[in-house]
Amino acid sequence: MLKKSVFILIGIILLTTNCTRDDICTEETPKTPLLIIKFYDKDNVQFTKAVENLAVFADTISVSLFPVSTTDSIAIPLKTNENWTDYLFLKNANDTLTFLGESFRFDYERSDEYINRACAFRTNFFNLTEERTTPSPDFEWIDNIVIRTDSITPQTQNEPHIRIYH
Amino acid sequence: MSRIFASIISLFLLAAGTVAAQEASDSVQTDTISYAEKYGLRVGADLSKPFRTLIDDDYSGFEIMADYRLTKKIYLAIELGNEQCTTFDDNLTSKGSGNYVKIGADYNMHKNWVGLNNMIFMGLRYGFSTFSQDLIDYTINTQEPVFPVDFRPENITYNGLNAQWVELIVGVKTEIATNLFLSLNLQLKRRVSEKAPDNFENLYIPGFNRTYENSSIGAGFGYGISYLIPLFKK
Repeated sequence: MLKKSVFILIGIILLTTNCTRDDICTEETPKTPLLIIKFYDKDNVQFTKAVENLAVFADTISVSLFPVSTTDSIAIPLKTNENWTDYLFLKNANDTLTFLGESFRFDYERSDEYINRACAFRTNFFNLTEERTTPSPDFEWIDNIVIRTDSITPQTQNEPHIRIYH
Repeated sequence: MSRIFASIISLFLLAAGTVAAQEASDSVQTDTISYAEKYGLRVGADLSKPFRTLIDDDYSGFEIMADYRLTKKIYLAIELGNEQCTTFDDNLTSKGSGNYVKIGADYNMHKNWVGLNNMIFMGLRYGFSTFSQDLIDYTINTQEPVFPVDFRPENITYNGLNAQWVELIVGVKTEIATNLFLSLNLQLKRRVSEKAPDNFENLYIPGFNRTYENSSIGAGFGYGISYLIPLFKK
């Protein structure tokens, strides 16, 4: 009886103290949250309105975050090592991209939050503000931008943080 | 690592085998000559921890231990140790370092042949550790790999941490030469309280070993050598 239990215990210990990692960061674990933007109709503010052939560019990255598509909502990442991220929203993007779109700088404060051993940390963002940096009125297609929720955390991932009227 | 385990287990089996062989012919006992058994203080050190210190760059540690025979079957036991262990996880590296003490008692379940002092024992310990933890580096976990990986080699030290646990221990002690004992034990631990850093957690607790998410269970083993200082016989 004793020897049996000793062997069972050896088994447990071999399973638990070996060198292979058994901690995997699962898909469902909330990681660094995304900024969620929803597009609304400027003439009928109750209703969402898809942006035709929208392309989204982060900072100086010259490839659109998503394939060009007609959509009424996007979820975009913010930089976790800076207090700002620049974004360019291009409407009616086609094959010959011109980058002649609306640009915004999003400013925020950051706070890193421990998740667990496998996933490490995520960054949450607070006091989000936006600044329109579109270089010319000719590129403007957005009527108004409204921040609804200024904290971007795993708890605020179900509702849009920003409403854009166009 | 598996080789170490293999050798430790074979040593353990050797020790267990010695005790078992002796147990097998244990049945007839008509001897009426009384034999006084040795009582005393047994002091020793763990061998696996210095050995691991030599071969594993990310670990250093030692443990000294003592037990005192209280009654025929019960021994008071204490272990004191120091450990430092660096843990490499997928997205973070951390190091726990500090001291621990474990106190408790062992119960010898083995009936010895006359003149032998081997043990197959089960014991309980209360463990307490004070330690610090270094968060050496980590990455920010993002769901969209849009921006370059945000790696933070921050090396933050959290001091003044502690943990308490209870431990179930089973093992054998075999007298390999007069008053000299080899012992192997396996430990199953359950944490009862801990002081963890803000916005981080205790990933390695000296004496308790690594922790598991959403669990207060830990495990460990010891392989040691000890010397019995006989004090009296009865």
